[in-house]
Amino acid sequence: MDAVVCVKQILDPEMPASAFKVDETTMTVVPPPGVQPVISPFDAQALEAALQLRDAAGAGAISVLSLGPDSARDAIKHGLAMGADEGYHLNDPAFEGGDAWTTALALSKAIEKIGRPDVLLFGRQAADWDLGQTGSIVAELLDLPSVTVLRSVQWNDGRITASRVVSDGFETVDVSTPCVLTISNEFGDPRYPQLRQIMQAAKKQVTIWGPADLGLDPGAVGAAGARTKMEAFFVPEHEAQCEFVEGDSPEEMAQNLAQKLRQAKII
Amino acid sequence: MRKPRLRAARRRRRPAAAEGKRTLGLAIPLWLPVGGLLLVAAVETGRIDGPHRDLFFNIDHFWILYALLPLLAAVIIYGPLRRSRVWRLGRPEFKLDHPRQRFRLMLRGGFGTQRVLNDPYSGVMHLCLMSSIVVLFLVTALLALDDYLPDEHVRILVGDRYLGYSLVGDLFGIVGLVGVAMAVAHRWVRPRTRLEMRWEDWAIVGGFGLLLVTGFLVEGLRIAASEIAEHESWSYWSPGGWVVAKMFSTASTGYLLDFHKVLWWFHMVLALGWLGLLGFTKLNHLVSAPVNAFLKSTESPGKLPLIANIEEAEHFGAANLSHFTMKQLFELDVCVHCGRCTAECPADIAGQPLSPMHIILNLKDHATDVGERMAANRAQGRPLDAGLEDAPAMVGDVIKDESLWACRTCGACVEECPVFIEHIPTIVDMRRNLVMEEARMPESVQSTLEMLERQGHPWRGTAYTRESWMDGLDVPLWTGEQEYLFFVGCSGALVDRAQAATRSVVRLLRQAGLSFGVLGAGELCNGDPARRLGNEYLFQILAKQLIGALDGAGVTKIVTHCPHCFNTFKNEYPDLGGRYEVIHHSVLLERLLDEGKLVPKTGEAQTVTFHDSCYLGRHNDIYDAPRRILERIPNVTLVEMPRNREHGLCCGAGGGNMWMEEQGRERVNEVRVREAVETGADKACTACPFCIQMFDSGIPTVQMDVDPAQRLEVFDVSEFLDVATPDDATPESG
Repeated sequence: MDAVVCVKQILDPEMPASAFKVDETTMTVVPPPGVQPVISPFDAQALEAALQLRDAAGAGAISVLSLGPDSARDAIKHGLAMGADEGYHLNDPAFEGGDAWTTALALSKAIEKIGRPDVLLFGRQAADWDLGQTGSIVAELLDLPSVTVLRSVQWNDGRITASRVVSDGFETVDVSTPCVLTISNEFGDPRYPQLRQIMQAAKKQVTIWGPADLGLDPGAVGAAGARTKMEAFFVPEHEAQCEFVEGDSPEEMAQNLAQKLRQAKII
Repeated sequence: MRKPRLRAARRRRRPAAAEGKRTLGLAIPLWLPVGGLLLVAAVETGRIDGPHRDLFFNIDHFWILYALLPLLAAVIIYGPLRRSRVWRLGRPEFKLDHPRQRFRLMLRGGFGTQRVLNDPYSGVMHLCLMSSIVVLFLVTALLALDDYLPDEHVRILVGDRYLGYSLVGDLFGIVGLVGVAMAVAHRWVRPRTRLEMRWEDWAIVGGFGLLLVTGFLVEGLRIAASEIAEHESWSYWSPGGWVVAKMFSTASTGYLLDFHKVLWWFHMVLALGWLGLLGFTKLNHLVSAPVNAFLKSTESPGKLPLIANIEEAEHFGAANLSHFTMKQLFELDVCVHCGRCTAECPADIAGQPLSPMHIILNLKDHATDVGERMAANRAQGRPLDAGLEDAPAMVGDVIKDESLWACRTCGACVEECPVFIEHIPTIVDMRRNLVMEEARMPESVQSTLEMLERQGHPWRGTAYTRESWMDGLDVPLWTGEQEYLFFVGCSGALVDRAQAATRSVVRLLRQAGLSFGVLGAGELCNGDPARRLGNEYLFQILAKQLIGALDGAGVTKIVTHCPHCFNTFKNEYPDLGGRYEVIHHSVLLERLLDEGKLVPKTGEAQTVTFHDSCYLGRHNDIYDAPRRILERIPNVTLVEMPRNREHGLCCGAGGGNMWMEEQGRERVNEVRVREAVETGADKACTACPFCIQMFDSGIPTVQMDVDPAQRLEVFDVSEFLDVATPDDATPESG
């Protein structure tokens, strides 16, 4: 079973909110000091899913693919340390400022160049912008079936049984390969790499491709090819008001609380 | 104004107290018997027709005894020699720095049994047994020597010398019986729960008891048959034998002689057999314990061994016995399973799944089972693990993961161990295997390590940056011009409760006019949690990065807020090339008080109990500085918890447990808070941000039924001093 896992490097979601600053004129995030970018948590879970599928299938090659600046190499190395075999990095100034469409386009070309795998895995969404589109667009571009927001996957001799998280429960889907799967946080924690693997991953070469390597016109990717345009970029102001619910007895307090919640149309 | 009292500082100035114990430890077991025998030998009035005895009275063929001696010697030598094949599985790393210090510990701690005396009951018991064994051995040796002396004119054991000799022998026989009785009571009448009893305990204690009883019987029968009729006054000098002789006063001489002969041989064969236990039971501790004392690290027990050239290492930590050092394997066989380590272990006290004694004993049994087979494989040139596919895994089966994680690396076991076993490196070596080799760890550990990798601090979910605590306080940033770098640490900067103490330290340093600065956003975890949690690789990465930053910024002197940072900078960084003058804030503040740069002025009447942080106290010997600061604050009355100073109980957070879920009967911090509450103190004081957090979270549970306003409160020593030393000039708006 061969797999390609697409990962994105993002700003650490664990960093304190107070350290998050944006530049409203250039519409970019100001890199917070001392906070390293990390692999998007959903993508790390997608890697874990790929490793488990390969264990179940018995053999196969797992490739990690990422589009991003130089630092995105660390996210690829993380995937290699977890147990992936090959790393591919789409890194070129032309890719900068893209959107879900241009990213999916570049990724799909890269996947064809790597060789279509049995399973193509994504996180359910990148944990920075939370759009959740790239995986589905790649599936469309490559004309593959796609099953999204999964909490578990099973390898059944060339087919996949996957359990989706839906609003009122779980949905079990049986899908043929090749296919696109996007993994949700319900899947469970990704493994912690063994030190030996970290060291081996550090020595591994990562293949770097630009638009020309993928047969793409630089004008079709990055900001130039984007189909969405950002109008404004700012940190919303949060206002929190604290109100103590009064009452002479616990029962009265509970009644007053219920009234307030009803007034606020929460219940 | 009431004068502040400080019981602790006066009660126990460590060197003097320890010196006293050492002298006692040395004096009684060694000098008394030797002195006694010298005294006897010095009496020069012996005449051959005066008091004496026939050396081999009533015994024929006594040469058999001498013939058996080489056999005994063979057993005693063969046991350790064979076992050394297992020890030699380990890495041949012996540290032999500071030989004088090692020699001193070997004499005082090893032969002098200094630490055994920490526990009064078993200390006295051990003293009785040990002195009896030593004296009776010398008594027997003297007898043998006398036998060798060719001419009866130069014999030693005649006249008054003989009488004195007999008295000393008998008295120490009785002392030995007292020791045996105490040991029996200790083990079988009123067993201490922690004591592990094995067959060797029966053999050693029971065998020695039987040896003493038969010794007195043999002596008594000889006296009854030969001495008492003509020279009863001689036999008063053999009180034990005389009592026995009186009991047999009506027996016929023939019966006495026969019985004597049988018992004499039984006693002698038993004696040889018992001495043979030296070769393969814990009785060998009378040699191995002093050797282990000599091999004990002369460095802080808070320092973990470095994995040098980690990139090229063939394995990380210890997955099997051959990954330990020879010293680590040797000391498994030194353990006498007295259980003192477990009795003082915070995890065991709280009913959590760790007993340091059983870590050592289970490894020892594993060495007997699997280690011997590995040694045989090596001897025959096979791979070490040949034929051991089904053997239990050392880490996981023999030693459970949860036991390794429950260790606080607090050093209580190392401090208590009377035979100087060092448990911490052995436990951490197995943790290293779990983390770096197996990547098998509790979720909370993984999450902490990931935070350290990603953000350079262990505090997942903190809402603060490294500069949040500075808001409203004029904090000088490091320029390279100042004298001291104040290293705030991750807790001091990123944990709400600890920030208050950080601000107190800064206010006090400013008030004292000290030249200092902080790194602010440029600070980074120095790696302590990664190292305690077993990720040596991550520790080295963080440490090298920080050393580069500190050296680049021209830092030479560091004040730390946290004892864990202090320990790592002071004891562990030199191995990686980071050499700084490191001082903990409590020591610096005391110095500033001494210099008159800080003068506490006010203070409400309060009773305070001081809790020792393990990494400040046991690991770095700083007990007095924080107590003396409290002593100088007006109206503070210091009270001590029963476990204090070297014997203090960990708050539960050490060894990375700050970030772990505890499993077991109760939490360690609740045990400790209960001890603090029982002193009746209004407030608890400590000098460590972890301890403060652990107290803070334990107090509401322990004092659930107490009005929150009446509950115990916990503060850093700097906070106490800050409140007592108001300075209106310090800019402070928030």
